[in-house]
Amino acid sequence: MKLPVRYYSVVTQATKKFHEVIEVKEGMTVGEIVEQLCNRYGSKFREYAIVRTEFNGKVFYTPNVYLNGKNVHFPEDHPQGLNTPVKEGDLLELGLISGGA
Amino acid sequence: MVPRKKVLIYDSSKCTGCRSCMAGCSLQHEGECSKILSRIHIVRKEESGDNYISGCNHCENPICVSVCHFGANKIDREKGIAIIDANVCTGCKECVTYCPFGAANFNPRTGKAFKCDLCDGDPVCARWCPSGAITYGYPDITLKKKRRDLQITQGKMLVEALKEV
Amino acid sequence: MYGWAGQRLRVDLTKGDIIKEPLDYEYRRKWLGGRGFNSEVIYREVPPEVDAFDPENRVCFGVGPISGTAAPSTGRVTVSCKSPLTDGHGDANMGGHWGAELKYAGYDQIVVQGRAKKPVYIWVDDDKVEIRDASRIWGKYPREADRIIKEELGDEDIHIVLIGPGGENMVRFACTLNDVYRAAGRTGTGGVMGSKNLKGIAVRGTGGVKIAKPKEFYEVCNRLREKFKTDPMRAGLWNYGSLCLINVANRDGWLPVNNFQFGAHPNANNFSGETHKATVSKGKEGCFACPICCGQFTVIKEGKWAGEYFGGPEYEHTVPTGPRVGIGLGDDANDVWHNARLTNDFGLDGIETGGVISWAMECYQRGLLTAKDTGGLELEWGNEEVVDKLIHQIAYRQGFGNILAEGSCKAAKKLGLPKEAEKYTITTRGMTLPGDDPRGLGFGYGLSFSMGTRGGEDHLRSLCCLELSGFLYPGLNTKVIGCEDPAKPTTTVGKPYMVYYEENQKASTDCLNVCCFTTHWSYAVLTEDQVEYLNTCTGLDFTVEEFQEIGERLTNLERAYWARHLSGKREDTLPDRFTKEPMPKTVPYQTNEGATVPLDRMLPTYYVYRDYDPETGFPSERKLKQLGLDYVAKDLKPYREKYKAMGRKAER
Repeated sequence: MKLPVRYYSVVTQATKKFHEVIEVKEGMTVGEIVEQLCNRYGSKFREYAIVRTEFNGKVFYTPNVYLNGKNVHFPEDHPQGLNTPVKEGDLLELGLISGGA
Repeated sequence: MVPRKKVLIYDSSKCTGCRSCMAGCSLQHEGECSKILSRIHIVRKEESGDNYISGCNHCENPICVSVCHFGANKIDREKGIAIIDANVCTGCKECVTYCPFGAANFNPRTGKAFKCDLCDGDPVCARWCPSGAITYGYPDITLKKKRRDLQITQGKMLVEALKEV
Repeated sequence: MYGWAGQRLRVDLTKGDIIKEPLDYEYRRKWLGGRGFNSEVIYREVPPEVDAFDPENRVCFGVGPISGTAAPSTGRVTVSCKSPLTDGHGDANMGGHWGAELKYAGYDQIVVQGRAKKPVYIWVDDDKVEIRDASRIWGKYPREADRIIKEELGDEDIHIVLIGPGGENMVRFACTLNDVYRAAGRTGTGGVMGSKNLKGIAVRGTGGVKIAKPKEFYEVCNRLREKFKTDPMRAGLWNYGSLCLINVANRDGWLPVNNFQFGAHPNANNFSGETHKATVSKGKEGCFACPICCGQFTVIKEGKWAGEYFGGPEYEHTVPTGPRVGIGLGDDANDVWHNARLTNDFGLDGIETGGVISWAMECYQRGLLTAKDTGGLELEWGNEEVVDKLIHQIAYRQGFGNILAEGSCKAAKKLGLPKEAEKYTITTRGMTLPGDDPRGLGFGYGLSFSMGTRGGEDHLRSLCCLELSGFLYPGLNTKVIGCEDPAKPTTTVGKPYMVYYEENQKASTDCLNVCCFTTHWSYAVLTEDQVEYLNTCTGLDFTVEEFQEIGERLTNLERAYWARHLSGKREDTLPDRFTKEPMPKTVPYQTNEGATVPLDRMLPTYYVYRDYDPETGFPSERKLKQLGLDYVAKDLKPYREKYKAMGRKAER
C-alpha cells in the first residue's frame, strides 16, 4: 500500500526532501518502516528519527515519530508504540520536536 | 616510518566565533577564565559575521624559537613542539613580534611570554570546539581525509554509475 | 573574589558622576546577579510615580557570577528598566560577547541614571570610565556606530552596546543591541537609553574571572559540553537556529498569521530554517562560550533587496514582520528577511513592531481604522510596501508611525478607538505576544503568557519547555512534576506546577546569566549541574533549593513591583482570541483545529503554588516574609486595599 511520509527539520538533511509517498506492506509496523527508511537514508537519518538520550545514567531511545498526528511515544495515543501496524489512510511524520493535539 | 606528531589544525571557515576555546584554554592553564590569558585567539568581525582563528601552528622550524635570544623557547624533545620556559623568559617580546600567526602571547601580569603547549596531549580547544573548526590530528591524515571528501563530492562513484544503468 | 567581580558601576548622566559601588557578600548571595541585581535596583530606585522617560528611571545592565566563564553559554546580559511600553517592570536579555567583556573589565552591573545634556556614550576601559561625546554617531545604525567607535578608540576587539534611531526617537519599544545584531528586544530598554541621550556603552576588559576550584569546575564544564554533542534538542538549533521551528509551528498550528487569526499557512516553508539555510544563510555564529551556536547570518542574494545582510534572524524576529502581517506567504520570502534587517538597523523590537502593525491591520480589516486615520496607507495583509513604510515611520516617529510608536494599547487610546480595538492588540499588561499561539504551542505556555512578570505576554519568563521537548528526556517530567502526562502540550495536567517550576528555574538562570537554551529547551544542563558549576566557580555551598528560591524571590519581587503599579489578578488574562476563539484549520496536517486555552482551569491552582493572595493576585505577606522580602511586604500594604477598592468600584 502507499504510505505518505513527511519530514521536518534536521531529518530533511538526510532525506533531501520534505515529503514522499513510500510503498509498504499493509500491517507493517511503524518501527519496521522507520528501520527501512534508516537503511535507505543512513546513520544521520537514524540519529534524528530515533533519538538516543542519556538521563540519570540510563540510555533511552525515544522515537521522534508521529503517526496520524500523535507522537508514538505517548502510550495513551498509541498503546503499541513502534509496534503499531499501519493501514490505508495513515500518515507518518518524522523529525518534529513538539507535540500536537 | 615517517615521524609524525599531532598538531592543532584550524579551519576558520567553520569558526562561529564562540570563543569556547579561549575560555577553556585560560581555565586549564591559569585557573581563570579570560581572553588575554588564552593561548589561542578568535578574531571576530561582528558586522560581517566573519571569524578567524589565530592559533599556534606548531611549525617544524618555528620562528619564535629562532628569535629567542635567551634560549627560553626551545623545541621540547618529547612533545616535538616549541615550549617557553617561564623561568628563563625575559619578556623581550621578540617572539610576539615575529610569529606570523600572532600566536605568541605576552602576559602583562607576569611579564613573560607564553604559547600553546598542546595541553599535555588532549587540547581543550579541539575538544570543546562545537563546529570542528579546531581539530587535533596528524596533518597527513587530515589531508588524506580532505582529499577523500573531495572525491565523494566531486568524483564519480560506482554506486552513482550503477543507478544510471 | 571568585565568580563575581564584586562591583557595580553607576553612571549619573545629569551630574556626569562615575561611582563604583562594592557589592557585599549578603547582597550577592541573596540576589545572585544578572536579572536579580537589576530587578532589585529597579524595585528600590524607581518608584511608581516616576515615568519611564523621566531622567530618574534607571537602565541596568546585569551579568552574573558565571558570566565570562567556561560554563556553557555565558555571554548573556540582562537589560532592565521601568518600561515605557507597559509602565511596569521591564527587562530583556541579549546574547553576544559584551557580557563577558563587562565581567573582564571588573563589573557585575552597570546602572545608568539621569539624562545627559547632549548625546553621549560611555567608554568602560577596565577601571577607567569616561563619558564621551556621541554627536558623530547619533542617528547612525548600530552597525555604523559600532565601526566608528572602534575606529575612534583604536581597538576593534572591544564590544559595544548600542541603540538605533528607534531608541534615539524614544519609540516605546525600541531595543538595545550589542555586537551589532544581538538584541535585548522587549519592553523598550532602547527608548529609555534614548531618553537619557545615551547612544551606547563600549567596554574593554583585560581581566578575567577567578575560579575557586579550577579542576572541579573544568570537570563539570567538560562533562556538560560532552552532553551537548549528542543532545537531541541541540541538533535543530545547530543546523537552522531557532528558525527550525517554522515548519513545526506551522504543523501544530502555532504560527501567527494575520495577527493570530490563523495558526498556519500552506506557504510557511518559504521562510523556514531549511529554506533559509539553502538560500540566504552565510555561516553560523556563536555567543560567548556556547556549545550550541544557534546564531544565523543572512545575505539576501536576489530580488529587490539583494545585497542586504545582517546577523540573525531568530524565529521570534522573523514571524512578527513576516506571517503575522501576512508577509512571506506569496512568492517573495526575501521581504521577510528585509523586514527583520530593518528592525535590527533601526533598533526596534521586532516582536512589538510586527505586533503593532498587525493590530492596525486587523483594525483596518474590521473597519475600525480607515485610510483617513493612516495618512492614506491601505493596511492590507501582506502589503510589503506598506509594512516597509510603516517600519520606517515608526523608527522616525513620522505620520501614522508616530502613533504606532506608542505601542498598540496606548495607540488605541490616542486614536479614541472603540473598546473592540483593544481585543486585537493581543497583549497582556500592554506588551504583545511573541510568535507562539498558545492554542497550539501548549497550555503551559498559555498560562505563563498571562502571568509573566515583564508584561505578561512573554514566552521567556518560563520557557516552558518541559511541554515542548520534555518527551525527549524520559523521566524528566516525572522527576519534576510527578508524571509524564505534562509532556503533552494540550493537557492542563501538571501545567500550573510546571509553569511555577519553570518560572523559578528561568529566573535563577537569568541571575547566573547563562543562556536558557542550555537548561530549558535542551535539558542537557539540569539544576543540579548549574549548582555544581556555581559552587566550583565561587567556592560557595549553594543547594538546589536555595538556587530555586532565588528565582522565586525574584519573581515575587517583580510581581510586587507590578502590584505597586496596581496590576494584579484582573490583569492576569489572555486575549479572547486564545480563550474564546477556536483555532481554524488552514493546512491539511494541522493538528489543533478547534483548540482554545482553558486558562481559568489552571490559574487558581497556579495561584496556590505561588501563594498569591486569591483576591488581589499580589504576593502574600507570608510568602514575602519567607523569602526575606519584609520591606516589600511593608510596601504593599496600602496597595492591597487600593487594588481591592478599585475592584469593588468597577463592579458597581
